[in-house]
Amino acid sequence: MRFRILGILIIFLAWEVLSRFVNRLFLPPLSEVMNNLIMLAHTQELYYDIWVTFKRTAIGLSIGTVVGVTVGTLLGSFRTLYQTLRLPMDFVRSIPATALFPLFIVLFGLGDIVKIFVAAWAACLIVIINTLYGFQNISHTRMLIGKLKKFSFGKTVRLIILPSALPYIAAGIRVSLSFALIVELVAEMFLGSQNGLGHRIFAASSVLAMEEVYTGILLIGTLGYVLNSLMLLVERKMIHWSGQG
Amino acid sequence: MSSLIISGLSKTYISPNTAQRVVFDNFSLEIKHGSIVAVVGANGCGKTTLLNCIAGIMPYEKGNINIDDKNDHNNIGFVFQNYRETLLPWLKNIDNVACTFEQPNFSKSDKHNYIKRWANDHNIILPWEAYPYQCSGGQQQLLALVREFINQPKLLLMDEPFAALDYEKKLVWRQQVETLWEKNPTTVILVSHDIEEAIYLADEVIVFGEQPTRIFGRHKIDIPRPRTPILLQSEIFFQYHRAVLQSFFQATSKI
Repeated sequence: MRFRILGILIIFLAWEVLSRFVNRLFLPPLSEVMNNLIMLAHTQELYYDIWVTFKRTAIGLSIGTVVGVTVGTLLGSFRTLYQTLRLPMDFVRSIPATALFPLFIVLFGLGDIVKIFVAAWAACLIVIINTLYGFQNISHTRMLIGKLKKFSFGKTVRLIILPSALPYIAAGIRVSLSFALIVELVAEMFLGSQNGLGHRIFAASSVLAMEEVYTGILLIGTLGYVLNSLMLLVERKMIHWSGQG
Repeated sequence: MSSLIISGLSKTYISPNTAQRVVFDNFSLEIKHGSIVAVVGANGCGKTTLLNCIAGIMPYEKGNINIDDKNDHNNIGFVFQNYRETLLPWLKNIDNVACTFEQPNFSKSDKHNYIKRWANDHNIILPWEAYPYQCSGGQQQLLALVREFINQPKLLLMDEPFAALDYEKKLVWRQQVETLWEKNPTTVILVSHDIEEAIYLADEVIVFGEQPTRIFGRHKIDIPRPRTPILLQSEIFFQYHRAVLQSFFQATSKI
């Protein structure tokens, strides 16, 4: 813990010193960024922007997870279905979500729906793959136990299949969280948004308010870090056995 | 006295990539009830395949496997070599035993109480509220044994259960198995590639060899129980060892 704080202090100090030697357009001093942050902390808009970005990402991630787990479960359970859909699925997965933005705008307009949809889209594709692998990698020996002990289908699902797949699904959700946040911010910058952290930094940079750009970046980093930590906390409770011997 | 009777068993492995392999062709074997029978033989001689067919988890083309004159594969115990993987890490130790403990009229807490009492009666101490991954390898193995013995299986199959242990631990575990078996008599078929272990534990050692599998020798082991590691130094043990080894060499020279 002591070293972690030391690490942060060193980076902050380096930032402050470095900012004296470069164009302040590229790197404004940390002290000014902090001032800007404190000033913004007294306004309503900042909290609203954080909330909006959080809300869109969270809703998108939730929808993406539900759809992803459902589709992944089906693909992982039925081999022929997987073989049939593998090629088209891999193709769609290879298209970066951002390349589809113009299409999404036409389909969903520029409102909140499109911004939730992009996060759901990005999350869904990752969760599908992880869920699929989770179901395909269930230990053969454990399935044998179920067969040997004449477990009913329900009991096999509850005691063997679901817990086996769960760590893969959880990893998928955690990875897709970062991706959902990425596309969410890009969407807020370019899909006609009037609020959200993405819109905030983009708007600030267009008027060269660099302290505010950096404030936004720091806040986004914090948001991502907090969300990831929350996810880890839930994981440790729910899949305590994962990664243990 | 009833028994396990295998008659006319035929089993062929067919895979698209390799030539088909006939493991059993009209194979027959009879095992008396209540004894520990060890099956030894070189790798690939069908030992594990036989266990899987008996357990009803592997289909075979022809033949009959009758336990107590019935073709009924219920309540057969199975201890795997990779016992660690047969425990469910998301369940507490007690639930690992309870989830395969067959007592239709028992509630969950009935089962828990029964398991704890049963373990007590056998002088077995396990951290019931812990998870398997928090336990030592020895505790995990004991858990896997308790899980099978508590159901009083009519047949207990063991597929090289000691293969992953070091020698010192093996000695301890053989005794543990013998003790559990003496208190909970059942027919045990122990597959092993360790002749010493086979003789030490078994009432009879059967040597498998060749493909399709043939029996190269059946050796009755007439050593009183309980047996202790000191037995390993005795003249009688050497005699059995020599006899089994002779069958084993015969069997392996044909491959």
